[in-house]
Amino acid sequence: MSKRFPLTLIVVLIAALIWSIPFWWILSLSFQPNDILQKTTSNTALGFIPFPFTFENYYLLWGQSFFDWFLNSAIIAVTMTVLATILCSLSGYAFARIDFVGKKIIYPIVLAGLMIPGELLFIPLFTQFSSLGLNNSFTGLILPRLAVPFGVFIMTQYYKGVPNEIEEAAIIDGANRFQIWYRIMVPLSIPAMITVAIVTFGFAWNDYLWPLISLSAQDMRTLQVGIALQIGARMQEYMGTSLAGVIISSVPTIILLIYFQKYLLRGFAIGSK
Amino acid sequence: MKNNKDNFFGYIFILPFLLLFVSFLLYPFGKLFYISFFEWNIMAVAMDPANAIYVGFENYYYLLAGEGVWFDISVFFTPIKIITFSILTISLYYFYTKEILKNNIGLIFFFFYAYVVYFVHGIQPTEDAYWNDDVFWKSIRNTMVMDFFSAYAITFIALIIAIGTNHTGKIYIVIRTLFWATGGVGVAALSIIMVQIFNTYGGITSNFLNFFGFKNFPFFINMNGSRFVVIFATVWWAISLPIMLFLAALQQIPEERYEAAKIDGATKSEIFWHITLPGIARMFLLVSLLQIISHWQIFGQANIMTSGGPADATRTVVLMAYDYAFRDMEMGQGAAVSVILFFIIGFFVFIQFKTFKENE
Repeated sequence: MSKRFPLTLIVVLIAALIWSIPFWWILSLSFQPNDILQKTTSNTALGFIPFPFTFENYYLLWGQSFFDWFLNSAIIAVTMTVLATILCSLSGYAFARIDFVGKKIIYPIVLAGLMIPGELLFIPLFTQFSSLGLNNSFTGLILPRLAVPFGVFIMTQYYKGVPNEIEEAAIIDGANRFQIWYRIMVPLSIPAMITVAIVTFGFAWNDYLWPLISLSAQDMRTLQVGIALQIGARMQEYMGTSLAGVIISSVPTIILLIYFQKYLLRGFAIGSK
Repeated sequence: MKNNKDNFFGYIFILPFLLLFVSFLLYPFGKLFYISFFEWNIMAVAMDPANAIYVGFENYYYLLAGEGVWFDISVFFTPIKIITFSILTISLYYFYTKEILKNNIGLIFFFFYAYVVYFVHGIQPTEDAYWNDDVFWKSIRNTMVMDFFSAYAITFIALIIAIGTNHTGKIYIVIRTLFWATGGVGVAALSIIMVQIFNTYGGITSNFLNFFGFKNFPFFINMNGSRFVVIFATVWWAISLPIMLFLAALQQIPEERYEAAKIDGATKSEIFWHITLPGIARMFLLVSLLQIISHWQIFGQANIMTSGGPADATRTVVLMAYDYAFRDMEMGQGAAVSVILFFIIGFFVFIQFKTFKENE
């Protein structure tokens, strides 16, 4: 049997390479010295081969304000992810498994909150946070992003699928609700919690509009705001270094996206049911 | 006794979330409407809250109304508009006669939205007439056009990529990853990358054009050029999730249907139109609605790359609300813009909830 010429594979492969051209090009430019990039961006093979090659751009980023932005973003994103995941898991468990008075009213209201595009609330949030004195602080950045009905919805749907017997056995053993949640439900729901965590982290890392409004102090800036406001202005002189910053800023979320893709998909499978 | 315990733990468990939910989502949502009825200068109100002046619907009136505004049919008699309209209508008719539209609500919605986008261009002031706020309607139109093209470019391209890469094998995993890794880039990084790509001097497009002996094309000076850049950036950026969703949906179409069709002697295109496409119709609608909803709120790309220019060609609605609130310091006017955008988005969200509730 003769092997068929893999036409589909080759077409798709070429398409994928063309699709990611911006990425290869930026990556290659970030390894070229700044003084050459000031003159031309198409030095070797239209700029696709980093020659002359240098690591200097990445080295220069260290110890600059870029490093502070990176740290700020990391602190904010990690805090937000941990808090949001715990909150969503707790309330998801309550909505799914505990019959408390008023659940039938509260849960639909939370679901209705799914319809409010949170991005549009920046004006009232700004007035609210300036009267609270929380603008220009990490607290001010994190708090409004913890009220995400999406995560609660995913966790609730997940906990609804857990069999009753597991919980009943624990209740007979005399465990209270908190112990059940902590000892049984959390370990069981790790996949769903990873989904919520990934979505939250990606959102926090790439959040732009709210940090732009809320932060005015330079040393408080997050990565996205810093890149938008400062790196853009420095492009002419320090193109290589700026682009190295762009690459570094994207690495964490790209790795998460690739590594945890199946959790993301599962989350949306639950969400679209 | 047990019931009391349940009540206690239930409320303890949801309390932290509920507090945040009420104070940072529901309360601001109510306050958005409240602010929009005031003349709310950010500085004056910060000094003394009594400085907010109640103006009723004046903010909305200022945005929406104009003198002598009419539906101008004459804008549709340019060759390009006529060609667009013909292509749209002929393909609609073709799909209808081939019974492709049946059971494919996603495609029906595409045509509906396309006609809406097309005819919104007709709402214009006639000669010697004006809008109170000239930029607002421009921004609605810009956002709508960019939203339509981004959302459906993403939907169709993601569908093609998903079908093309829906094979087993390690090499296909690498290829899929190349396509959707772009989703991990942040909005500011994306904008820097795209400015670099489309820069008139030293951009990759100019390098290619020069290499083949053409002149540079000034993307950021040309109105449609800069719109194209914003749309391109959005498509390149937001396509990863749709690809994943389409792949998941494609893998749920039962293999027997394809085999039965092959036995009946169906051609490849027939299989596509009558098995693959209906099989993912639900996902098609979901993806396009999600994209439409999210790109009505487009802000970062336009703000960083073009700042709404040239000549307001890429000024989006959120950018406008932002400018009103933090450049002109008029929170009330900005809030009114946000409220109007909320109602536009609400229409699509409503359709999304409605269609997916019914299917359950």
